[in-house]
Amino acid sequence: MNIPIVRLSSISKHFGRSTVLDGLDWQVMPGQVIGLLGRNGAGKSTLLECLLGLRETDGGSVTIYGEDVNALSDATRARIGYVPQKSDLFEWMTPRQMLDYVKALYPRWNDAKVDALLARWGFDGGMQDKPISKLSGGEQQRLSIIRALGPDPELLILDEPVSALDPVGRRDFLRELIDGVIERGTTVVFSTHILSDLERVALDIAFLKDGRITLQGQLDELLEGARRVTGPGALLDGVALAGEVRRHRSLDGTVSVVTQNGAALGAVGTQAGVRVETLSLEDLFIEVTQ
Amino acid sequence: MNAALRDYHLLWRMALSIRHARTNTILFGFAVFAALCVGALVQLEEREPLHTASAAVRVALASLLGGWMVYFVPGAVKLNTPFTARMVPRMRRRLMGLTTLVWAIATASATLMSFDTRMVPAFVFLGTGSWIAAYGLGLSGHRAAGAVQCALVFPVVFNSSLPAGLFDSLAGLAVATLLMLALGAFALQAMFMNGGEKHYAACEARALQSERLSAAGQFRERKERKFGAALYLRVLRRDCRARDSGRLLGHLMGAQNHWVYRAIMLGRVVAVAACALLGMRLFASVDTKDMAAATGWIFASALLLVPLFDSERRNVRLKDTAAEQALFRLAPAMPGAAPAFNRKVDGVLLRGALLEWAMLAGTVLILSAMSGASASSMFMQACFCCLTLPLVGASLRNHAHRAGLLGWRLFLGAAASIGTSVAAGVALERALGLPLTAGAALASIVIALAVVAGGFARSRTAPFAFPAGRLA
Amino acid sequence: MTTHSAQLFSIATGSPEPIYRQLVEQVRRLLAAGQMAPGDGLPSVREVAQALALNPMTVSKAYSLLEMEGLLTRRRGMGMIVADRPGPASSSAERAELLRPTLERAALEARQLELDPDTVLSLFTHILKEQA
Repeated sequence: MNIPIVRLSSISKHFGRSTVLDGLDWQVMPGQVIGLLGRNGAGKSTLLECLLGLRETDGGSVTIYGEDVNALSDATRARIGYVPQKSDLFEWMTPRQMLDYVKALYPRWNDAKVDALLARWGFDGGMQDKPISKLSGGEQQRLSIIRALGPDPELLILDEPVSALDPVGRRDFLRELIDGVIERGTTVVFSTHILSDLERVALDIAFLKDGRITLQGQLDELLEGARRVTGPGALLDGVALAGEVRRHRSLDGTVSVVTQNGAALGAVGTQAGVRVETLSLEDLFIEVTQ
Repeated sequence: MNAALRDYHLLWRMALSIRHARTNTILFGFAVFAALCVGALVQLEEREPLHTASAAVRVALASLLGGWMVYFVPGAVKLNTPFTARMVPRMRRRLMGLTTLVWAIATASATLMSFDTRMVPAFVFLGTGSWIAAYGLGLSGHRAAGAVQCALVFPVVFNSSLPAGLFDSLAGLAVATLLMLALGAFALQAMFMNGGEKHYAACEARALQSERLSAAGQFRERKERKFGAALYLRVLRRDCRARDSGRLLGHLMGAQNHWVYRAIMLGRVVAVAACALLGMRLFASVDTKDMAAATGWIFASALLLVPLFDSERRNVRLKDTAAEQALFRLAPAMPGAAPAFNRKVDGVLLRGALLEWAMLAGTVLILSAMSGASASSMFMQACFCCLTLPLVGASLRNHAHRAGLLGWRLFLGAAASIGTSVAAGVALERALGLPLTAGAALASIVIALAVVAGGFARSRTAPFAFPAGRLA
Repeated sequence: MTTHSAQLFSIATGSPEPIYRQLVEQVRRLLAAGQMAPGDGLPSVREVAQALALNPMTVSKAYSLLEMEGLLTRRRGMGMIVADRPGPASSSAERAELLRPTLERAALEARQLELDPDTVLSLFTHILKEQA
């Protein structure tokens, strides 16, 4: 059964005179683990908010599980988990009160999992009586994640969920994501800047640039196929490479071309003076989002 | 000597420019404006150019002095960060010296300027000195500042009730001056602490203070007191167990805005008033009692201004909790379509507003009854309460498009509503012989119903109320 | 017949090589170095995923690839084990194919250094004889 869970069709969003999303099409298949990448201010948070119906779009339509996002049924909303960028929600309550509060809004709540996570992630004893505003940024983020995982969601949307966590915290989060979420077949969409986490856990990547998804696909395929071809302008100017993503000419005449399709390079790559390199995810990010 | 003066000059300019780059321009402009206004008024009244000129000059100098104080003192306090206090002792010494100098000059100038007027120079001397010191103390975030400022209000405002000639004798004046100097020294030491834990605590207190002065910060959560907190938590637990999304939505407005805290606050007001009235009943003269009975309603009616602040507080709260509102949008317990969702939100806000209004009205009536008002006076009081009823509809807006303070629109609306009610009351009095206040109250009730109905009708076609302010 | 734990593997993020390929290469190197003998059990997909904080599908993909190459087999009840070294799977042609990526890299460098094939081949033969 391969109908997309989330379908965005040519959505556009303007803020005043600036266009943030411009005729964007995107689909999320069931069970996918997608990382959303983009520069700061590219509109990742806005895209996720439009995806959930928290913001109205200026055009186009968004459906989740086939329902229009402006009229989601209770059952659908019970299957969605959301970790927003702001992590100190309900800051005047203590963690325990906040979890009880959110639990009262959901039909299903996995008490055992929530308690296990609270114990494993350092929320024991005294911590549970401090108001959330007094917790550190990392603790607030961990709590935010626990809150989203409480109702055992089938679609999990995470907006920079680990920006304030130290490496151990991030590793714990990834482990929980793998163990408790991915193994159950949950669909995960998350936007983050921490590429190492994405490489470990995400199978698909989507790059957001200029209001559109400019590049998306399986991470392994992207890494295997991407190449940077550098050489003198004389050889590379005027040669169009298949799957070209970016072409840049430096001041001394060298041209560097980034292409998605390394296999189709053929003769160009074997000329003397032409260098072909593979790219890491970070290199790819920089090249695609320039 | 030269170095000290140079430092003073530099620190003066630094302190003044913290809030504004062109402080002096503003102050001079304001001084000239004030002088012109007062001069014109004095000229119209007395028609003596000399008097006018002296009055104008005095006003100009006084407003300059006042303005400089208001800009300099906070600036000086801000310049003394914990780092400079410890690591740059010369700067701290210079700041203290400059502040003392400025204090002395201001007090002396004020005293000199008051010599030819109706004000008693001794009072001006003591008053200016102690008020500036109290102002500085307040700015430093010291906890006793509020008490000191309150205590100073009484001798200054009620100076006619002080024994005459208290300060005519040298001894009396000397003692008072020493007290003022002691207050000054205390304030100076609190304003310019020499580093340490207390300094950091004071910096935090200052930051909280200035945050509270801003529009949004005014409604931040403060430390909850034990009893109120325990009660509120019980209500929260009960609502969570009941899984009533409407009541849970009410909790979105925060702890301090909950009716539990309002009830506690009003209870305290009633208790204090009861004690005061009891004291008056036992100890005061008949005249005072009559005056209290007749005019007590004026003070009680001041409580009726609170709904204005209530609706503003709710509006700010709605704007600040946009992220929590996102969670509510995604919660299965809330309706999924915009009209039903908005209706629920409006219902919760209206219920909260009505509850707060009812508690206020009840308190006002209880206070009136306690102060021994007659039945007709209480009836008038009840009608006054109804005049503020339309304000409960102020929270029913198109939250998606408009969030945040209503500001002058709220005051205009309240004024319009009250004006219309009074006009209607007059008309009803002429037509049906109904008492004015009753007619006005009736009109207010009708206006309130109309406002609420309009709000609900608007929200049926409006986009989702949460997250508030996203389409602004 | 040792069963290896997930500590056997390590991966590096930030490299141009996808993680599944890193796992595949690691298994190949371990086999070549003799650190894994035929019949040894490999850690389950779940164990590796948990230990390295990886998506189980990535580990599963690596294992499937190795199974297709014949280096691992799936035994019921035991998960993945190292395959016995069967003849056809490691014909000299197939083993030569394993060397291809390294040789391609060397060829590229040779072209950049503008060396002719004969010089390169004689250098390579010399090195092979040295190491024999």
